[in-house]
Amino acid sequence: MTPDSATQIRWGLAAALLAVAVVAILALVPDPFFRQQAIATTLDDVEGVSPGVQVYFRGAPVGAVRSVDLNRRNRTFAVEMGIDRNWQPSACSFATVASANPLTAPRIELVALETAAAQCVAARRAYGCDPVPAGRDGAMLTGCRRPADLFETAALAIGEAANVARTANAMAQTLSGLLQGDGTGGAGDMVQVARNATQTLAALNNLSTRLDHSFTPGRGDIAVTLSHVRQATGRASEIDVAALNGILRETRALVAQNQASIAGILAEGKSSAGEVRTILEGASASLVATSANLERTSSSLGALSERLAGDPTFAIRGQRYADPPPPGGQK
Amino acid sequence: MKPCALMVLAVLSACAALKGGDTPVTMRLSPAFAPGQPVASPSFTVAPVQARGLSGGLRYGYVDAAAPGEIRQAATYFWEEPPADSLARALVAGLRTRFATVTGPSLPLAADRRVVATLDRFEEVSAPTGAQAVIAFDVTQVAQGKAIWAGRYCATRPIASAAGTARAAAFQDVIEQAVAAFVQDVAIGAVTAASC
Repeated sequence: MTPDSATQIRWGLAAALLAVAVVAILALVPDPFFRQQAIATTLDDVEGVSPGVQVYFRGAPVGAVRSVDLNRRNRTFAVEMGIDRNWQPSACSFATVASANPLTAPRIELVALETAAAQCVAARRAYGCDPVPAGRDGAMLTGCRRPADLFETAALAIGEAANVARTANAMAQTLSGLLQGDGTGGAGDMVQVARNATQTLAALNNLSTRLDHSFTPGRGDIAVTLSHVRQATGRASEIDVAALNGILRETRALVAQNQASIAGILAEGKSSAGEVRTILEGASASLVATSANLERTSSSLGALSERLAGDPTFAIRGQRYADPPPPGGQK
Repeated sequence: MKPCALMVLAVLSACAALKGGDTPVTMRLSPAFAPGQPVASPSFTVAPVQARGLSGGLRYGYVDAAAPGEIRQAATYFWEEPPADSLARALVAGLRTRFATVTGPSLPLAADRRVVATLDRFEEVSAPTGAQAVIAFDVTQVAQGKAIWAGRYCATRPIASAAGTARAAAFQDVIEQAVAAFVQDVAIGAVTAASC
């Protein structure tokens, strides 16, 4: 027996409404089958991340960004992500934004370090993650600040070199005063001060060496690292190379002054400060090397800025080189 | 006809993509000097050598004699260390043949005299008749905060062939020649007029 037409219409309408509801749920509800968990993080700079952007964990896509909300109180972003339920954070996990480049979209990377919670702060720092303080929005996962790009790092390193040179000079003067006084009191403290300064110098020297390499035209990372291309063209025009050179000149003068001070101290030959002498010799050599590296960095930065200003594609294309002809035309 | 053309294009692209890059040649400089009779005084410290422009780079630089104002850089030839560092090592090694107490940039101890050098040219000059390795550097001696002596040293040497070893040998010779002239001047306390 066939239902009457009114019943058919009612059933038809109900089926259509049900279909619309199912489609709406599938389309609008982020995780209709409850396969994901919601994890929130706080970022200071989302670098183009928007809802729908994929979240990766060790190279595998594990979810997507659901929402990005600006927190007007502290000008950070509350980012909510839908992450596969099988993903569980370790005792030391955090989220960081992998920058966009001309060939890839931005994405969020989840990092889970297999270290104990007590060592998490140091491990995170070693990884290069400077955590963004979580707001009151209940972020579950620590977010990392946007890492400084090469240009910012170079500018900071040059500024830092001047500070280190000033500190080293103050240290040398203090040490000189101590050695000219009773010769014993405070020498132990100075060893610690000198050791700290040496560590800072070693880190700065390492950074300056890396920067020097990175900015070397045609050989450095800048020529091949596509992720820097977009930033490079914009950032290069913002760097005040003349100001950096001014700071470098000041640093050079301070380094020279530092050399003279240390040479004077070392010439005094006080045996009580044997360890300090050794450390100062190392610090002095390190400062000289750092200064030279930073000077090259500044020079390369200036050359690169000029190149990029004239031809923004230079960072991708690099420079054409040709070998010299054989002497006298022989093979 | 069309599939054939597409096939040729595909093969050409594949060949271009699969073609290996040029093999870089990294050249080492090991300047050496004949041992002398070192004297105890004065003591020397050699400051890190500064380099002018592209002279400080690891990429091999050359100048075409027809266009002396244009510095070019080689595609596949590199120095193992910046030429300024090689010069600093050579200055230390050269001075040690005549003076007993000489320290380099890695150990900037107090000394009677400080040697401050700037590398001005370190390049190949190419000409149809042959190529030459060229070095030129300015050097100042500082004692007790005052410049007491300044000079300029340069040397040239023919490059025998295009091989990296021949180029490295020519540059090693010019460094040894120029540094030996400097050390000789220091030993006798005079400054020879520069030939460049």
